[in-house]
Amino acid sequence: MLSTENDFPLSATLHPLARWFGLADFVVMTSSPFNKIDYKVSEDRLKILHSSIVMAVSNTKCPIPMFLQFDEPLRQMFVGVSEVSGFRTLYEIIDLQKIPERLQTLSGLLEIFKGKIGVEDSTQLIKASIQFTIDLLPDTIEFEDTPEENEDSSLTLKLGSIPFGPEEFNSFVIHLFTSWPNANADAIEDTLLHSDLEPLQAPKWAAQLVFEENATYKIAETIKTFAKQTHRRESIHSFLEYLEKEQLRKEEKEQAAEVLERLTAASPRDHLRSRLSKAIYSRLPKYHLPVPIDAENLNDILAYIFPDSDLAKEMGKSYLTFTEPPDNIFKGAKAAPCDSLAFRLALAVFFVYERFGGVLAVAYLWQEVILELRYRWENGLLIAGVDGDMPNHGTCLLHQKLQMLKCCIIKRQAGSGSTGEASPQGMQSSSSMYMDTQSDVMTDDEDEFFDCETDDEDKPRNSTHIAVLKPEGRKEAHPTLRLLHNPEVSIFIPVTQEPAPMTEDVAREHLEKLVATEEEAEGKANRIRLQSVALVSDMSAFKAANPGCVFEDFVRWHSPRDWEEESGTSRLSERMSQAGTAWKDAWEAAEGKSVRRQKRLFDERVEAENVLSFMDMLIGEVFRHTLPMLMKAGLIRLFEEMDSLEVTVQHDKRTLAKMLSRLFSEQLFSWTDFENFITSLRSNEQALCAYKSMRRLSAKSAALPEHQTFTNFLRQLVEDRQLRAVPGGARSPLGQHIAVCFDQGNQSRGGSSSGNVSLRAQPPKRRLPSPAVRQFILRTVAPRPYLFSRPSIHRMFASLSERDIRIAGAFSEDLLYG
Amino acid sequence: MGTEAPITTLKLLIIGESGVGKSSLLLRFTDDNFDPELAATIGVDFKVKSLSVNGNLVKLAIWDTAGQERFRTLTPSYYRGAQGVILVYDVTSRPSFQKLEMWLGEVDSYANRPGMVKMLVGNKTDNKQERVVTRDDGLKFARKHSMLFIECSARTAEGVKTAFEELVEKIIQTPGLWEQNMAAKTVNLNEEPTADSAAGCALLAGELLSVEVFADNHVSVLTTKSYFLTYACPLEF
Repeated sequence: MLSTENDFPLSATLHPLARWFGLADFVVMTSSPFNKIDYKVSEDRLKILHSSIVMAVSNTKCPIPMFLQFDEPLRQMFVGVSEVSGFRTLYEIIDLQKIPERLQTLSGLLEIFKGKIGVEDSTQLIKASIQFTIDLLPDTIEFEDTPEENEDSSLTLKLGSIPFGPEEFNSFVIHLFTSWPNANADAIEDTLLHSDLEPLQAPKWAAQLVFEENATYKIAETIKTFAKQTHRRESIHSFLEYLEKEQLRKEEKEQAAEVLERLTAASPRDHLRSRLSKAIYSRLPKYHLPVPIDAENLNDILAYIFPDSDLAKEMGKSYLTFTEPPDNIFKGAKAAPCDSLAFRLALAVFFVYERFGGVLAVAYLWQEVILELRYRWENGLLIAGVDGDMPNHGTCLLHQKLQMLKCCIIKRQAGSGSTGEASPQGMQSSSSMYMDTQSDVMTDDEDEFFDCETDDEDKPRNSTHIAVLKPEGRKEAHPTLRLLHNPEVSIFIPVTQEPAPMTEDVAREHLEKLVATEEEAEGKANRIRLQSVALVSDMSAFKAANPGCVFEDFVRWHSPRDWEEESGTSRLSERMSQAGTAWKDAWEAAEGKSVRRQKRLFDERVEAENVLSFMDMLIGEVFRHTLPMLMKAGLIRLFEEMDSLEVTVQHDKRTLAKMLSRLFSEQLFSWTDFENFITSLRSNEQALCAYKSMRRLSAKSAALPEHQTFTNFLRQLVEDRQLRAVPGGARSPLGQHIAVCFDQGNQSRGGSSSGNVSLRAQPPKRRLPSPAVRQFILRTVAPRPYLFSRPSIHRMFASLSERDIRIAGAFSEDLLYG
Repeated sequence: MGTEAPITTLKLLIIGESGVGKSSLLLRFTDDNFDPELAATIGVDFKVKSLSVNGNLVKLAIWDTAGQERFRTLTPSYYRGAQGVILVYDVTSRPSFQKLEMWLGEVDSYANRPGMVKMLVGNKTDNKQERVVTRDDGLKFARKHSMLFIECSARTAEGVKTAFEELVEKIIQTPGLWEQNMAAKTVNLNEEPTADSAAGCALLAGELLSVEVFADNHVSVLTTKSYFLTYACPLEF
């Protein structure tokens, strides 16, 4: 108890008894946590318990203190006793919510201590260890050169960016521990009027950085808020209808007309858009109004989303962009590239959600986006920010759908004139092309030019009349192959239909259909039927391009390894020469039709409508489908900060990117993984914010010597979050830096905590914020209970904060001479 | 073993040039049969077979693809989610061996499971007099691309079963390749449901008796509170 080494241990994990009494070993008796009612034991029972403990300790001569915990566990109230070589030490705790004035100073505490020992004229020296804890809040300090990022708030939220930083001030605190170890208590003057205990004079300083556990950070919060919206089940239409009703209720017709005029007059494009929208929502003629986003802002956002639109060119504004980080770090993540439309959509949705009042505005914006996409499709205009020419299944579904729309637009551009007549047929069949059977292909045909089937079946060896047939749909002559039965003629590779591009949901459906055939008796045949459309199309095209060809010719082009040449003779492979195989059947069924006259495997009209109706989703789905990009944007933002600060943080980029990939894999989305991701992201953001604050902080004292030491010191505080001594205390260069940085003397707002400190009037040159916690340990060796008793050890701990005072006393008495 | 439930379902994919014997290999493995006249695959075919690995029953969904170039554009979507790929060549055909690089390129660009196991299989070893690719050639290639390697004959059945067993064993030994699959498809009741995951977990109370996930993302849950829930998992990306 006399050892000063263990004074004021900091570890929060220590048992409070260890902190208050400096004990290493002790026994605590407490009511069972399973029996919650028992905390409020009556005082009588408590006394009985206490005496029995005293008895027990006395009987067993137990040197280890025994404690009894009572009252609510939160109050942490204990009584205890120990007995060593004829001395009994009683441990008591006082906890007061209101601090009596006389207890606020060392002098007052000293009086109590002396009173408790009860030996008035003791000449024994009373030693005092004192520690003041000052909470330094770097965040609240005003900086002369306020960096821009400090102004980041929802008001200055910029389109195309993700905010970074703490959501509120005081996201962390630096505890500065200033202490006076083992001083002579009577020599220190600490009264209400004057105090020698000036932190700036304290011989020992130490500091520790502690994060506010519940503080929120912007990137993590942004993503969380966004993700929460994915559960919303309202449709976009319901929001638009609501807008409509609002409008009717308000009856602000003139104003409405005016705004509508503004909207439509903005550019010819706008005009077309609103005309289109009228056509679609004829029953909601003025759904535009009242608008959650005003025309100017809406145009701005749309120009951001569609940088290739006339509107954007007209405005000529440049927007913030994200750049893909190097090393292909997001390769596995199913999101979309940073310069893609899907990516911009995500950021625009976020921006509109935050800035223009939530989902209503998002629904409004999304509707505009759908209209623009429809406009692009119907006018055959490509969309900027959609890469590739096939849906890339390594990206998110939204991006795939947009890629699909691009496929459709390209197809439309390519074949706008020539395939026009085929459209009525295409529009009729809404089912997936994979469901189309061979029979469909045949029956759809109306004008049959020639009948290859008959030729092949009846006169397979007859090559004489072939020349009269006009070949169709030839792409190029095969470099080597000649027709088997007409060796002067090259085999022509036909123009073929490319297999229809598929987004992953359609592909999955297709796979599931195949899987479903497993149980069927005719499973294999059905699987073949489901998949032979493309083969039949190739066969048809081949027949058309090569009049007079035979199955062997087709196999030689399509599956060359099934044409075996052995010692001069060549023949079909065993498997291809069988009669009645699916290949032969298909060949026989296929009619010579060039691709142009075939039923199309890919009908861009149907597919484009599918994409557009996909886009017309529930509001929650808007968030869900843009979430991958928002999360990617959040990570990139975080990475930028990591790069600019060049510090080590808990999770490296690759780990975070991997977590993102895992979240958006083939598997079902796991909210648990999502939470983990957010936690990791937040921890990085938290550290980065602290580093950033520290950097700003250290700039304040740049003029003082040994500035680098200070910078390193601050950096270490964030890095290991351990208690770090300030060597040399207040007077050291390091101490000087801290004093300058947290100097409250010349600041107008006077710190966050005032309270009782105002009484302690002493105006030094520099003033640190007033201590949040003041702790005193008084100890002495004095005879007790009587002067003639053997001297024993007494110790009193007092902790004063603004809210309460806790005094923990351990007073011993001599049992032999008492 | 008949009533035992499989611990996991693995997706395997068989690729390679046309005519190297991919379908024959599969037929030998699933039905222990050989048909020299087996028709060339159109698009893809698939078979399901259960296999016991170290005492655990594993269900295999094996996708057999067509090798012809014209079918190849159809196949990218089949790669996704596959835990194992069997790349087959014909030891009697040098060109089928030379095309392996091209096939591997396809695997790398379409497969999306980190840690997916690749196996190189040289088929038709029974045809000794026409053999042109030596065992050493195959082994070298496999080593260079860190693949498992085995030679076999679908005709004589030699090495076929071993090939599949080795592949599956390797997949089972690869952490994260299949456990993850299980974890994601079951509802974890030990997890304290957060407000966000309420849609999933909060519905569940009592002790879990069975969870089944169907292909259309419907989950049926049977608990001791004896209600049977079927709901669509709200999120899949």
